[in-house]
Amino acid sequence: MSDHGHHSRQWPLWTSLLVAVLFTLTPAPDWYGTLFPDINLRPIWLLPVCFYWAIALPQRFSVGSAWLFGLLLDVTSGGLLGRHTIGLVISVWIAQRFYLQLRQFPFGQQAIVVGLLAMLQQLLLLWIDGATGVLSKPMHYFTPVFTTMMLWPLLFPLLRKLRISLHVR
Amino acid sequence: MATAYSQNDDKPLFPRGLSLNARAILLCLFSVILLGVDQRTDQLQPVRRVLSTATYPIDILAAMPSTVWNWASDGLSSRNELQKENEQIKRQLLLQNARLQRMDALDEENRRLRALLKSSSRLQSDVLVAEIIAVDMDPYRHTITLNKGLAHKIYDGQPLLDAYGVLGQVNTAAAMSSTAVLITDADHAIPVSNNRSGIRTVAYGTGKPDVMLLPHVPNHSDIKQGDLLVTSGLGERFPAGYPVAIVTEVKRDYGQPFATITAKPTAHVTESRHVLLAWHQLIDPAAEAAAEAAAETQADSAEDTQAEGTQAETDKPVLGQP
Repeated sequence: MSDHGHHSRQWPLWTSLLVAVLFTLTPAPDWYGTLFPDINLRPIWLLPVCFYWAIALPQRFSVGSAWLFGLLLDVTSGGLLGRHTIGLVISVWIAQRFYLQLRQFPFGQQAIVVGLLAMLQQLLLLWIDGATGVLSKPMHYFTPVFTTMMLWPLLFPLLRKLRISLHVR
Repeated sequence: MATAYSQNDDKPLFPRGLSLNARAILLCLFSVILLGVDQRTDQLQPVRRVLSTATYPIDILAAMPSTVWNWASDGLSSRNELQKENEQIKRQLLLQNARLQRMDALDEENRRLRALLKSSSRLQSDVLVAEIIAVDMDPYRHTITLNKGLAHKIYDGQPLLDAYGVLGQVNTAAAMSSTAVLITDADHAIPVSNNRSGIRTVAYGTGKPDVMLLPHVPNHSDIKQGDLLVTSGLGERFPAGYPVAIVTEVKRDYGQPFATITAKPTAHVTESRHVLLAWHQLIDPAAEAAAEAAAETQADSAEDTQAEGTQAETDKPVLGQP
């Protein structure tokens, strides 16, 4: 990480990923449960942030780092180890394969790509949880995909500003 | 837009090592293996323990908003409210103390009777108060993180109680924290018995915080609405006799072999901020023999003060002596 000469400032990258993990873990406040008793609207945080850094700095952030952060989420959320990693690795992989095209996409199209990747990740989670006997309502897996897509037009400019103003390379 | 990106894009992305495709495929494969091993075996438990210990600061940080919220709302509650609460707690304490006095006498009597009957006496449980520092975000997975861990002698599988009943059990104990699964988790089952009729069965979590299911009770069994289900002690995971749930509904469809029974946990699953960790571990024979030898040499008065001494003493006191 640190062998890239004098201009590599990277802490905002790793901090933003850590914050995404924290947002995922933070318990929902009490009023959320009373307001939306049976609907899961919490967006997926780690995947869009990984996606951003994969298209913005593909030489810094790649599948290996995505895997590590996925594992971090698995450990801290108390699920099976490897539960989140596959979806994240595939997402970052796709982002890196097409990063030049993806950068040119307008927000709307990027949001659709993020939504598709989030859908893939949730499908994998549903699959893994189903196979390991943790029953759940499929609905609860797919509603976050929409909130994640809606989040993207806010998240992208924020991370972009962070990257440019802090000279993250 | 493109000009704002960093200038080293034209560098070869991965000058050495494996290609992007190869790394992605390898990582996916490795994840699948990890999942399989973690699901089928316990071999990753030490790894998980180390990782949970290392990520403890993240748990603390994630719990910060609710900690701050609780702290603020405690700080802002009025003097009047506090006085009222104080009053109520004092009254409760008085009541509990009165009950406890009777309990002590009963406990002693029970021990004597069991000694007379030459049956092994019940394991006495020791408890520790822990604070919930995180709650799983997934609405169907009821797991919590506690601020006590291996350093406080927490072990995997340790029963978790609150003031009203059984709450769950410890999944993984890390150095300073531990994760626990609640009895209402869709993946959890607890052996119970009906306090009134003594019928033994298993209560399953459903993923809803106030519903448990008892799917294996035959239609003609003596169970009805309002019955209290207590831990049966079978499976040797939970100590016997703690309240688990109250039967809320019994539907008997005589075309089906089993009745449809739902129950509501007595523990305040969603409201507890503090929980009790109970010690109820079967002592392995070698350690037990050593502890027994030690207990025999010591005076009887020591047995009530030390928790471990009490366990060794009360586990099999009669069988151990001719």
